[in-house]
Amino acid sequence: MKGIELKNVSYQYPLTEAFALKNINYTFEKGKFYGIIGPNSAGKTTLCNLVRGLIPHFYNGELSGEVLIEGKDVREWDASQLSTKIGYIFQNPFTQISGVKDTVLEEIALGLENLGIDKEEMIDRVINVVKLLKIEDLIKKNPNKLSGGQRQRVAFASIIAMDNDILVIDEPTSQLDPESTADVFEIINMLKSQGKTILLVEHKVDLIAEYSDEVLVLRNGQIAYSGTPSEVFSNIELLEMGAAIPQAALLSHDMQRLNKPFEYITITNEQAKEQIMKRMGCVNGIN
Amino acid sequence: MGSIELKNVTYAYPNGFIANENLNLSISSGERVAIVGQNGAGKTTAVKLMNGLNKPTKGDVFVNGVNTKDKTTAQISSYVGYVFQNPDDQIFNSNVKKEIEYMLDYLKLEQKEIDRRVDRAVELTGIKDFLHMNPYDVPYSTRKFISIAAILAIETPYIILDEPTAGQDVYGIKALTKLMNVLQDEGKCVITITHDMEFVADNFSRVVAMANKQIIADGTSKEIFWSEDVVKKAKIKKPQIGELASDLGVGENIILRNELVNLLSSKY
Amino acid sequence: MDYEFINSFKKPQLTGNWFLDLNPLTKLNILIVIAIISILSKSWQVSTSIIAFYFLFAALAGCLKRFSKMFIKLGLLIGFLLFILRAMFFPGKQVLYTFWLFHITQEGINKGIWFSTLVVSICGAIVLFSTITRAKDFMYALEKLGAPHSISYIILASFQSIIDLGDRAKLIMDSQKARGIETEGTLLKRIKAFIPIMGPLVLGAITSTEEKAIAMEARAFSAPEKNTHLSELRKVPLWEKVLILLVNISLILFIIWRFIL
Repeated sequence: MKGIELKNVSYQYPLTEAFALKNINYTFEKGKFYGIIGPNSAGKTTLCNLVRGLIPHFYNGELSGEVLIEGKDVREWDASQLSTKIGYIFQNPFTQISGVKDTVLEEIALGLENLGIDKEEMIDRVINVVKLLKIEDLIKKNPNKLSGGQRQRVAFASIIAMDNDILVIDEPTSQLDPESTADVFEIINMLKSQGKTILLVEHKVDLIAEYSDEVLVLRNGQIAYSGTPSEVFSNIELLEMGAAIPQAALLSHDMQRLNKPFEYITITNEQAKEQIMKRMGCVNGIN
Repeated sequence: MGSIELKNVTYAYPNGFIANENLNLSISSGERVAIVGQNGAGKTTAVKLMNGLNKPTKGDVFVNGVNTKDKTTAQISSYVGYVFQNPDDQIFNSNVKKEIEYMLDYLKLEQKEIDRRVDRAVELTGIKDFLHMNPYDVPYSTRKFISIAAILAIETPYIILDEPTAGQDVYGIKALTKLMNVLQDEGKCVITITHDMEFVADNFSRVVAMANKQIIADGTSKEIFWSEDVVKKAKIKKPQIGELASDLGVGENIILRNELVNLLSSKY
Repeated sequence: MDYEFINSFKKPQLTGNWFLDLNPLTKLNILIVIAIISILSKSWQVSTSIIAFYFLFAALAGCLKRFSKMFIKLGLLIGFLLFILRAMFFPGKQVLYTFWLFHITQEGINKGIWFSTLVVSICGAIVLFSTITRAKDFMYALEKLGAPHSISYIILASFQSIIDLGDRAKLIMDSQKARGIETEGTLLKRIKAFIPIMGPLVLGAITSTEEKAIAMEARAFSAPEKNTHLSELRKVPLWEKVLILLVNISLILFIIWRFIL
């Protein structure tokens, strides 16, 4: 079963001449983890809105081309059915709290109530995601009184509790500290191993390099590069278009410039370590 | 030469919950300090003590020799500018230019001076293209720069940036770096709360680490990142290059890429 | 992990207080009946006794402090204003006192006392209801009756928006302070600082409603499946049904007594 196909997709927000997305052609295959990077305003969030069906069901504007979700055009899908199929975690953590529940526990359960999940299972699922996100100490708190980082984790938990087949995740770690960020990526990796299709928009490319199967670089509404992390991140040109590349790749390029290159452009610390030790003929460490 | 001094400061919320305990810190004018630590360690409440938004429950905070308990927040804020973590908590005008000018109009400055300050703030934050737009029609990361511009226009000697790197792309981080360099050249003191370890390593020589409501370390970025004890307690991590250097067992406290490159090229 | 808290949702959450645990619609029923009696009796003595009863009910429910805090301020303000308006403007034959343009008549005072106690007693019913009932329980009860899910959401979200507005106002005032705008000090100063933010505050609330709607969509709000509930109310026990019956019969008897006999 095909995942999500975009064929010649272009989109303009209402009353805007500039194209937010221009001639996008891409297929997101089922069960893969896609990292989407690029400078701000490149169209990453617009792409998320599109795949999730918010364009055209919530946002008007001019949409051309075909967006096929599991073979059916997004315009033919019922908006309510899409919400059971595709989970969406938004960029702004401050506006994802529902405002109708007084405890974090009930907030996380809200999506499950809407899906008609029975109480036993609801409670089990909520307990699971609370443990995963390590937010046990937050369950009694009022969701409207949480800090940005806490809200981000609660919003994340609320969506993954819904167990959708496809997840669209827009910058879930912007307010999080390094430890929570690492937790989130591990969880996303785990979800992928459960067979879910993941689209993740992120700026933290070191982690994207480590976990994703494919990387898309967006710029000015178009796909500038796509391929495996190794293929994409070895391009130093990415820097000129406002996309970041992993530190290990930058290191590789620096060494190359000094005529002491690695065998290939490394994109993770592990790869860099292996290359350095090989080069120096060491087994355990440099010294 | 002025300074911000925190002396044995404890801060508790009105409901009694203690957010900061026994803080002792001294920051001189013209310094650049990064404050790091886990979410909930008390970083934001600590910096709010510096601009008078929070008044100490115990102990004292002095800004250029003046005790913050003796002045209103507004009075202290003319010395210490604070950019909120969430720009939407700070921006309320429907026009970007108005937002930046707002405080200058309030101070009843001459139009020429207002224009000069606005131009400078806009130049430093790169938001010229958005001047006549509604702040809520621009991307979140740009709104962050708008909120920074509004504070820059007040031209305070101390500036606190609360998580300026959150949600920023490569251009945004470059702009922040450039901004901080300019401010330092002008002799301003910049205090930044951030989770971006690369940003810290690249831009800050002094780092204050917080954990569990307290300051647990105050030193150079190298000292902090290479202290396993501090890293563990503050729940931070070394920048990527630092982790690689650590894995390789290089024996030197490396946190910057060019340092590693130099080391490797000398050993190859 | 607080399993006690989690497990408390497995069964309907009861507080142990018989009055608080009544179904929200039962509470609504009782208070509406009392309000009607107040209106129909046309007597300030009845209205005042009813107001006294509210304090009794609040005490029974263990919410006396909370109820008093809100009601005393509101009641005195409304009662006083309405009394003054009636006393000063109601025309009558027996003039007691004149000053400037106003003639204070005996009829005016009587009307004033009656009207102000009536309105305060109705206010009291509303304040008491909101004190002893959780909004979410009320919404649950309505949904069980058949009200659409969206009504529930809109009402609860509106309440929260008002609270958010208050929180947001405070945040913006803080950011005003942090920019150097004097908000502390005299009342006049504080009002002056508050006025410019009112417009943007409301506009901000309106724009965030759109974002909230999208966030709710992400939680499958419009999903076709029938809703389940984490937090439920108990089935109405027999004795409560009898109570409802008695209360409504009392109302009917009262109406008969008042108007027919």
